[in-house]
Amino acid sequence: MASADQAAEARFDPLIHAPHRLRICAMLSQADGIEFAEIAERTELSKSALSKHLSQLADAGYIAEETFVRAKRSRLMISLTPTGREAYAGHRQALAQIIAEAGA
Amino acid sequence: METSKQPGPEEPDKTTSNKSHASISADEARAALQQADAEEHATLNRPMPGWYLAALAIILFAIFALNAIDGATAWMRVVQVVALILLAVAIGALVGAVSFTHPGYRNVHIKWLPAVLWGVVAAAFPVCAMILAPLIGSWIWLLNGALLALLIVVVGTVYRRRFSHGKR
Repeated sequence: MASADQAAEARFDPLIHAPHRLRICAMLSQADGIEFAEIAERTELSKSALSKHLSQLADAGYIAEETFVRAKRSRLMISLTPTGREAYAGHRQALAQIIAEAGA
Repeated sequence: METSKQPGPEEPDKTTSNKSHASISADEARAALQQADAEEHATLNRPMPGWYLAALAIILFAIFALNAIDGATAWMRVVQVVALILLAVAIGALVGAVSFTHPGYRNVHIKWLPAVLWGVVAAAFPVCAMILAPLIGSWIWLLNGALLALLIVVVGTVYRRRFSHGKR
């Protein structure tokens, strides 16, 4: 995780910085995709609240959504786009920079 | 320093949506990074069921115990080998079904270095037994099997406590 941060250009992203969206981007960053229901369970957000956050991320081009069938049920897979991964990595780097500057 | 109420689970993040780099304190940045780290770890380290550890430990001990059998007749040897193969397949199927399959997740970015290192540690037990058994007796298989089973239970219990994510 640290090595990916170091490669990214530090860029604070207010959209990602919001607590729930930061958590969503963080969890998505370590997999190629996570199902909507799993994200809702981990963030303890209602479906409507989570949908709002995902809409904001999708509008920015940070996430992609894919409908598929598993165990005979239709499910929604959420994944970070390359743009989203770059934005998240850049935001992490910006946070690390803020901490480093305060310590300097 | 800007203070803002942490939004509840249902509230949109209006209070932080217009924050900029300049308005973020080091403490806030640190808290945000810690939260991000925690979520990343939670994706990488999925919860595992309690029975999984017990099943792994029992099957592995059984494999080691079979290797401790000395002076077997030819047909007993056949039974021994078949049982070893079946148990090895069972271990592979169990690990594949639980450790490497995560419903709800697609291609978790597994950190292979820790997995390989733990594999090397686990492999040391049978290798030591293979080397020492001709010298000190086949009982070393039982001892190493018990030690490996204990290690799995202890390490697995620590893992479960740390990464239960409130489940199981």
